[in-house]
Amino acid sequence: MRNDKRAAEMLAAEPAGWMETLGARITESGPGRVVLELEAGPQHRHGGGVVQGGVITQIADAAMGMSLATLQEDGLWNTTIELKINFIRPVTSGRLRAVGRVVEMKQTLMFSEADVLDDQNRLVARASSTCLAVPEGQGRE
Amino acid sequence: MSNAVEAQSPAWAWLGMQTVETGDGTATVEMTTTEDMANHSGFVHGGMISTLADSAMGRAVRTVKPGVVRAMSFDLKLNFISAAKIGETLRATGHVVHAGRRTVVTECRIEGPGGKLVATASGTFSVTREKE
Repeated sequence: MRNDKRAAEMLAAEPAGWMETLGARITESGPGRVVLELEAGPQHRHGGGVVQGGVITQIADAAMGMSLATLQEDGLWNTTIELKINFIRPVTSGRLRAVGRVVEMKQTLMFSEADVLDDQNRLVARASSTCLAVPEGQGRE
Repeated sequence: MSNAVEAQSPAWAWLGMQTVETGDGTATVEMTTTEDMANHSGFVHGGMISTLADSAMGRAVRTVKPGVVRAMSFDLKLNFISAAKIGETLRATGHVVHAGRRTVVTECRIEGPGGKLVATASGTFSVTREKE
């Protein structure tokens, strides 16, 4: 089921919560595909001088979850129950893009993948996840 | 492309795995499932599908240039998406995502008849390359 309305709303919304904290924003959003971008800077690096893996994982996870949400009906959202990532190339700065795409939608489980690319379109990381459909707003105040 | 790799592998012969296609960084391996591969529910056991995926990804790794003289998987991950029935021929297509000097990252799709998505997989291989 395509939820074009939700895809458009996600793209239009101002970054809030963790996205604001991390400096991430949604730059593309369509049925089954969502792109998140982050300008990597010193605030994202660990002691070794490269962008910390959790930051990369965060935008990959979000791009995957959001791409699934664009194919879910209103009133339903999803939560990650399993995630795997390969870190392929270190990054120190520049724009990072996480491209999330849907692999398969089942009744309760949904499968997605994400590529994280640097500003020269080189592959930085590749992730896959399994998500569980949950009522929208669950766990929120 | 020679089939020397498979010819030396008793496991490939035992499970009836065959390379049907290889390309630059890709390989397709097929396996026709038999009664011996069933789990308690009568469907194809996940371990059989894992073996097929690992083999297809390993075969894809061996197409990388400069040549790979040794490849060992040190990470294998699968998502089982649809059950496969006994008797179905499974087709696993492995792709190289990243070919480093010492490690190679791969992915795989395992499909049943009509292109039904049975599983997706990813694997990371430790490799030794030929000298250029």
